[in-house]
Amino acid sequence: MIPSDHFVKFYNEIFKYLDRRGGDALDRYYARVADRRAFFTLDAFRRDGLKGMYEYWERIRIEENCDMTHEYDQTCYHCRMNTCPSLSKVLDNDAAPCKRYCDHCPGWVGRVIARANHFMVYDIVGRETPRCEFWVFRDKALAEAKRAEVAALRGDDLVRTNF
Amino acid sequence: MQDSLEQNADTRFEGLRYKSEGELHRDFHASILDGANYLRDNYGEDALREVLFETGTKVYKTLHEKLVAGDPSELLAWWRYYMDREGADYSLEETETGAVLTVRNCPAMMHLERRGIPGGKGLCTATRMLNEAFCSGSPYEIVLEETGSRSCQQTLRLKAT
Repeated sequence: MIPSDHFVKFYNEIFKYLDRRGGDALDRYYARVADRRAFFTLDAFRRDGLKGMYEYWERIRIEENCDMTHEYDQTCYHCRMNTCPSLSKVLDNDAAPCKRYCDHCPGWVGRVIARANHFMVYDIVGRETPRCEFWVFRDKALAEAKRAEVAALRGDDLVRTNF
Repeated sequence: MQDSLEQNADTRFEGLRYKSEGELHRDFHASILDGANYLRDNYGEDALREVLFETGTKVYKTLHEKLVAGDPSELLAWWRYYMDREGADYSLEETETGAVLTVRNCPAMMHLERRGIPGGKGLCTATRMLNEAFCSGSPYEIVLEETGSRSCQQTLRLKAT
């Protein structure tokens, strides 16, 4: 049995393998992960919108031992990962991290959020910094404004959107 | 949390490279199965074997290097720590030349069953490949025998010469 605690280290090795293959191999895997995560999330996201997203990540906060803060209102769900347990585990590792490790989160989250007809802006912050932040909006114009704000701060490579 | 602290203070786990603590996110068993299935279905069994070889020899570098040097102590500590942590019904018996891990109720298989996720035996295949990687270049081999839908016996023994 591979311990559930060590899933992310295995995940990191999958990413490295797919990255070596090149092309869109990693992006196609993110799409697969999105399909799987949609099974657990999409109904609630469609039914309850931003509240459903808050409830999902509240469960994740507990089960994945996340140091994170999040909140929502009528227009936006905002999640700030103060210390990402996933990247932290990948960095606490005798194997090297995948250079694109952080892309998997916006890669699947963005796809599921899009299927729930919402708009995501993701600030990766830094690829070896276990900290990130994302926003989900009902209104595309608000998401576009947030994207411009984050891109001005980080540069385009560290910003991901689903629109 | 107290259990984790006690586990970390337990001298049986000295030398174990990764001692995870806190809550368990058991859905990651499904994620492991799905990742393994994805590699196998899209790139073939060799791709899965390659990824698990990297995992077994680089992620678990110290465990692997100890086996190569003839020392199974970290593997045994790893089995004990994570079987305890995941609440497995198991026993681990050390023998003169290795050990026998008897899993009567595998936590990963139990979780997949609870979630209604089929194909759990794919995790047994992944475990075999990981075991091969652990033992590569070492005097040991691990023979995994499935004894039921949620049970197995893994025997660590010296390779026949």
